[in-house]
Amino acid sequence: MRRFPVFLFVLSLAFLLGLHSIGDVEGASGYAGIDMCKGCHETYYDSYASSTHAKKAISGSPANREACESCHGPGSSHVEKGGGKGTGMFTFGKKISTKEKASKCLACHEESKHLAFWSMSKHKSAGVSCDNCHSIHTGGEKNLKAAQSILCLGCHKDIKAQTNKQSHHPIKEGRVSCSDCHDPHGEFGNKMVKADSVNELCYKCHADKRGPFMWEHPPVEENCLNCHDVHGSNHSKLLTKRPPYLCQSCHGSHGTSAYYSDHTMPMPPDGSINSSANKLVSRSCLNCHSNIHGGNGPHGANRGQFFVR
Amino acid sequence: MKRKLLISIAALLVLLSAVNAYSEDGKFGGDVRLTGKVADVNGNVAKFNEYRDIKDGVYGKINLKYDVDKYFLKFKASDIGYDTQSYKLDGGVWGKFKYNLKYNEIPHNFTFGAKTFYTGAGSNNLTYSETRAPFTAAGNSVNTPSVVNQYTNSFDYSIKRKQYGVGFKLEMIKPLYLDFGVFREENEGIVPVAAARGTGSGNGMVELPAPVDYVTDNFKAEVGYAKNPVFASLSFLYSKFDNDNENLYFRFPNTAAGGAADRDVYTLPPDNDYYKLAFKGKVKLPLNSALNVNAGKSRAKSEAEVLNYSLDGTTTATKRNITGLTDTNFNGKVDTTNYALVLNSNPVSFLDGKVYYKYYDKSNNSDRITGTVSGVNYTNKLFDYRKIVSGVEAGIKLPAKFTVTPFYRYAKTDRERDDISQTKDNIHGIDIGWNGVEFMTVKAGYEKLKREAQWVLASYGVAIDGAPQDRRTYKIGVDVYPVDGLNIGLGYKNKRSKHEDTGRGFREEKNSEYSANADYAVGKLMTIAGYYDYEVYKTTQLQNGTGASVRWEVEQKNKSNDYGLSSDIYIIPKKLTLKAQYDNVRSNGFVDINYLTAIPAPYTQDSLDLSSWDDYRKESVTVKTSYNVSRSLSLAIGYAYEKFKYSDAAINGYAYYYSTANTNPSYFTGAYSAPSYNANVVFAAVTYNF
Repeated sequence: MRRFPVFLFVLSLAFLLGLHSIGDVEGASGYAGIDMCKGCHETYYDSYASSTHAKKAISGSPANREACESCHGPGSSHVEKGGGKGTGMFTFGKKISTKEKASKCLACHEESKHLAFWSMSKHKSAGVSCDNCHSIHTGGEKNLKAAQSILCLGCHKDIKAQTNKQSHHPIKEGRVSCSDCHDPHGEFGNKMVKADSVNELCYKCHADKRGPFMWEHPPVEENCLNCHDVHGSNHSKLLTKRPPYLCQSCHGSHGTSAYYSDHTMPMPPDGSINSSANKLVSRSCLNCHSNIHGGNGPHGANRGQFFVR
Repeated sequence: MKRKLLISIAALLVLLSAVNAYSEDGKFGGDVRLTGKVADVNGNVAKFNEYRDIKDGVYGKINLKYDVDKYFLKFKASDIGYDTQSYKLDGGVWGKFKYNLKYNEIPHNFTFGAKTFYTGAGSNNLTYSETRAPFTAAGNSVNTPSVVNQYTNSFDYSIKRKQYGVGFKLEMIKPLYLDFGVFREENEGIVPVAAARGTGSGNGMVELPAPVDYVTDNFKAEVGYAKNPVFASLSFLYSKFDNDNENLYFRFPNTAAGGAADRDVYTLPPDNDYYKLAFKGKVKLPLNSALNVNAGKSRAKSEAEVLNYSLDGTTTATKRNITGLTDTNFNGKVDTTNYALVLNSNPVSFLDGKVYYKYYDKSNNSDRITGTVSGVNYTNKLFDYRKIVSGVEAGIKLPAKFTVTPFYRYAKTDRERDDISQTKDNIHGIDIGWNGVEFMTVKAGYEKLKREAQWVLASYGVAIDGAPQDRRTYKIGVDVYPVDGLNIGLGYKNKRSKHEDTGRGFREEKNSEYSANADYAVGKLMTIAGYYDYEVYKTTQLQNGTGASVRWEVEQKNKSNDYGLSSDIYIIPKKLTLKAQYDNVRSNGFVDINYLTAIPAPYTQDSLDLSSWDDYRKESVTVKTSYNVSRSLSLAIGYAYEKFKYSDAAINGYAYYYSTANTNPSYFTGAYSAPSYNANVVFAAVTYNF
């Protein structure tokens, strides 16, 4: 199995060398000019004129090339036919393949750090094109068609349901955006996260969890997702399951009890309660094992080592 | 209130002055909005405002833009003067450079009005003046008002994040670029921690307000080259985390003395430094292919004093000296190495695939320190791991507009860990898409994970994160567009994991999720949209302890419903609009406890169960009418209602103190208690566009 990656690369290179490329050839004449476009499509022209694409100070921008026709293709034929749909213009409609649409944008934007890795992105392989999220004619932030919490969750409906749960990152409140953690244009991390590991990503905001600690909790150090559902959970602190049963997924129950209904609040009038109750009520196991992310507590099985100081 | 109102009005006046001065050239524009809110919140204000700051007052929002052919300047501000305020300034010379300055505040409120008998909440020193901690005399009743009144000190569990950032990007040296930024985050507040009193389970504990005074400074610099067929970037990140309080000192509760002899210590996050150097690159290859490379090395360091004593005791504090410490300072050092290669190719129109390889190593070079407590030696264990992931996927276009993407991924993790030293994951699956007709797309997927592990049954069970596992995931989604303006989406996802070999601990997980959504535009008169999501999540775990009396099984079940309806009605098109929205999310949890041996008297199998388990329902309604008086001026008025009702076996009937027959007391502060609330908010806004 150790040689598997080498095998994959050799196989892939051999496969690539055995194929021939099919290039696209595009005609290079027949431009009508921006004034012609403006004559009929004034609203679109206005949005273009107020956009970054219309800046001549940016080398390679449409303003320094064929303006509208940089993206929509030569328009002479369209003009000669009197305009209308299906008369020779390139549009970003549903019938046009995602690859064709994306290629219009990538012709300029691929040469940037933001889109350098688009070709390996999950969005690209899932058939998403630039115009699914962006429109240069809307003029919003980064030309997005809507706020990220609406745009991204429009497709990722399971994530939307999670962000609506009672414990959630402040995504719908607009304090955290999807792109704070994910790069929709392609990244090396799983789920296109902007880090080499999940923990590295989380530590960007939660640097207090970075340690390194003297007493470590291995599942915590390996992957925050072992215990947390980052988008939202029915359980406080974004926990995947409710303590004590989350903790008991791995750990015994101090060897005695399942912490059943006798261990809950409310308690008898004299304040007495089953001795195991402090393992269930309120924050459950964390009532004692509070430094569960790691700590530098004093030596001893019942102190630093067990995360109680 | 007055201060915020004055700030908002002052900002508005400054802005209007600027408008008069510069708007004539048509390059200056933006909008200013003032929103007045009146809020009536009953119940838990902290939960209502968990990430918000909604209260009576005037909220200002400003967007300014000055944009000419050569340069631009944008300014945004919102919630001026509130805990959620945000400011951002972007500027630059087109094609030359860009810069930005930003400031944000993010509140995270947990519980307001928490109570403790300690003085000094928010500091790193908690004490109390009484001879003994409250309530320790026999006969005290938790339900007696005078008892709760002994918690005389009130405070809020809350964290406020303040984020400052400056960024600069140099573009004039294309195809080279230079990008750097400085970012600071300050966290201030109080969070709940807790300390066990005894050395065994059930010996009582005390909940403590711990101070949060963190400052994290980050500096990032990146230089890159971006011109086909090559992209390359080199980046450096330095992050420094400072905690003003690395220890929380507290008087050990239930002791008679008071003073240094019963001063206990709870450790807080240590200062740390983090460096990372990373390279990312891509080279385009023939046959519409590209090789992508990512490599990085990082180091995290920390330092902390090693404590030479600990306290414990169920009635009075016992001091245990830690002798023979091999070091008085702990030096933490964790290094990571990462590299990844991705070869992607789209050589022919019907094939788009990639192969990849990723190596990640976390090496823990921290100090190992030994100390002796009551004649027993203890040494901290260092955890590290190495993970290798490789895989292949191929997107293949088939006739009739089918796309299939089979994939295979292999992951191997080696750990420095006693219980689970190695896991191997074999994952394969397929994604299928079909858009053979214009009015519908269908997507389906299947994934199977087979995890093998080298593991031992530790004293506590089997760690779930690396335990052997079989997991299958199915999903299907259908989007239908039958007529113009109508979109309908349906989805289903099913995931099932089994951990049959582990014997003890987590055994099985089932998750089924159904979703539906639709939106419809009725010409230019109105839009209407709705969504529904139903999820059932069930887990099973087993404890099969060392004694025959310790055998039980727990099944947790959560049913979640999430649905909503919204509509925009254009009463007078482009003039008068009515927006209405209703959202409802709820969860019903249940814990089915099944003793496999003798049931504790006087219970039955059914009466052991926990019927309220993170049960909640949140409903919200918003109605808003907006009226465009002119192209420059618009008005809005609205009403919002939100209700959150929560019930849970571990929280219902919350008590700040309890004991077992008035021994081994536990002291709580109210953290996360009684989260239910309902709120009415009336708001009115005026927006001026220019």
